[in-house]
Amino acid sequence: MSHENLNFRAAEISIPEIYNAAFEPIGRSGWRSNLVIAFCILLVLTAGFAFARQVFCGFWVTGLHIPVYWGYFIITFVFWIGVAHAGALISALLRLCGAEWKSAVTRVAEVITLFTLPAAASFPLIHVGRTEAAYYCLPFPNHRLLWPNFKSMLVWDVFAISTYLTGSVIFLYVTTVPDLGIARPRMKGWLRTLYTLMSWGWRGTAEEWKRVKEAAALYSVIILPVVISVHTIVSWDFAMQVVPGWHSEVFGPIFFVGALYSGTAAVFTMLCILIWTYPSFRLLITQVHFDMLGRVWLVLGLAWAYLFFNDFLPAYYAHKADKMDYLYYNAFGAYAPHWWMLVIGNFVVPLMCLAFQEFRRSIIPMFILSIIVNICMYLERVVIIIPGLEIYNKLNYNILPYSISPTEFAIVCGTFGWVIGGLTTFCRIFPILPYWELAETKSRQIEREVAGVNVAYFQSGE
Amino acid sequence: MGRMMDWIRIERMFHGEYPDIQTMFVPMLCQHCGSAPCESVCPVFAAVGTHDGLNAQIYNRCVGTRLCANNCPYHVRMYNFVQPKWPPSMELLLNPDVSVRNEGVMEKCTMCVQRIRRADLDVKVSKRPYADGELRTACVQSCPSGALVFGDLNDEESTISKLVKHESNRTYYIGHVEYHTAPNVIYLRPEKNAEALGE
Ligand code: SF4
Ligand code: SF4
Repeated sequence: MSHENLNFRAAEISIPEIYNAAFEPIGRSGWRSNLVIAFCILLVLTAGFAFARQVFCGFWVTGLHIPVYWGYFIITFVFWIGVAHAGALISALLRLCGAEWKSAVTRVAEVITLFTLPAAASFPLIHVGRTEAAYYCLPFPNHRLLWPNFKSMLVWDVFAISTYLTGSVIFLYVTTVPDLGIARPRMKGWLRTLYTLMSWGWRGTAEEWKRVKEAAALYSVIILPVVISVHTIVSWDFAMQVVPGWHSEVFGPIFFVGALYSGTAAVFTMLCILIWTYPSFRLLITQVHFDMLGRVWLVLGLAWAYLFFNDFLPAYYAHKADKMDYLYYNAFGAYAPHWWMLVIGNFVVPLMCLAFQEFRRSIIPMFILSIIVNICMYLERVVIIIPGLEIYNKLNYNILPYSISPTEFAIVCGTFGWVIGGLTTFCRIFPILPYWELAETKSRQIEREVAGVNVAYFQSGE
Repeated sequence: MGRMMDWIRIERMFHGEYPDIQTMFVPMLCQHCGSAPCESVCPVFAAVGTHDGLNAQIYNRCVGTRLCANNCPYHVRMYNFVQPKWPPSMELLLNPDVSVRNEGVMEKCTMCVQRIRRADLDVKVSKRPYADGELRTACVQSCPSGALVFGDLNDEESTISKLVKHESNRTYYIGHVEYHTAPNVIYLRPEKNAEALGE
């Protein structure tokens, strides 16, 4: 495909038009987003009520029982941690690779991290039996000179997640400051006060620009190892146990790649919703982005599929009985519908569809596919966590299956409400598209044209 | 509902092919593993090995992550799903030496740690050596057929040491081969199928 056919309209729009498009939703309210936010608040309130009931009544309100002590709370925790990885991958990796098309998607990805990571971090607190004592996991000075157990992966979790949360918030904030500073004079009312406070007196001097860019580059490098460690550590919550199906050497890479895979799916869902809610964004988020990000997605999908099946191959060759039991239980037992749905929805369908450029460039099918992958990645966490515990029950003691209870369902839905509602609110207060990065790319293109080298704004790489 | 709490339970284990099936009753309690999978995963040192080889559970410290119970190969850790309640008149029945566990913490067989500590103190106060059989855990005490024996394996002369030495062809550890847990609870195979069950 030649560059003329790219149909990318941002190449034709001017910098003020980019500004108008990027800042269009700020401070406006429409019935669509009002409805979404109201619904999300309802979900969060229901979850709050369910959690309060769980704290006051006790843990019997959940469906957990011996031997399935970990259920949908942990599944959703892993799911949100996975989605949160989109932020770091897309912004840091693409920034480091110098991909010019990244500008339109980086902040979307970072904001997804901003909301999904607290959603994930709330689950360990919700799921421990004594939430009021959960701070024991932190190393704080106490008269008994007790430390947390640094051998325990749960303590590693605490450190990994809080590091990632701090890092990604700073990353997002540093790259947002120029936009806030630029937009401040044109804002009105409380938004102006907010922007003034948050832009820290940004004036746009050359020195300030240099620092912002250096900080962005530095954070991209620093955040990548954090990302890798966070999800590897989450996988160690399972891989370091003796539970069959959990105890696996390749869980680190599987979880990491799976996280990026589902995170990219979440970015696609979010991009489609943004385009639908704010038509002005169509100027800035185009088929090219879908195409390029779709390729990244395809690669991640292939890597995930390889690792997922590779998890069973050594067990098969080595006749590792418990792992094979676990596989049969998944594929032909109570979790067969989940398992086959995830194989088809995560592997067969996306890889067949994403291989075609026509598909990657059509927005509605991509939206549907991203929803399918999100659901199937959730199912992947279900079949990783529950069946292992159910078959890890050799002592013919208790064979009750686990099923989700209304309390757990309400709390899980509440975090979805928090993430979706938070993202919608964020779009109404802060620019979700990084105006300065888009404008910078645009001005670089103008420079190139002036210099007589006409390079397409977005190179498709073909 | 699967929320019962039993610190010691009887597992039925079946061996052989129909119609030649043998049933064994195996009392399953915390094995007080020397290399306990439950200890290393507890973030707050609520499950912790003591100097005398017990696997202690510190209820005040427990935050209820339930990871230790997932990781115990014997499924002997019981989680308190419900706040325990008694009619006020019944409260005097509770053992004053044993702390009452709250909702939200993990509990399990303690090897009657309160009796061990009392025997410890008795020995220290009266400045005499520990006499074998002086200390029996509640399950050992109440088993009418004497199927359970408690004692000091470090003491060559104790009943349990002699028993283990004498019956060495029948002793086995449950789960040690698969999980390398180094349990402190030793089982004896039934005499009649000692060979049939050979490790
Ligand atoms: S039997 Fe279970 S609870 Fe007891 S020490 Fe071993 S792993 Fe821990
Ligand atoms: S040793 Fe004590 S706590 Fe453990 S099962 Fe026996 S009676 Fe219960």
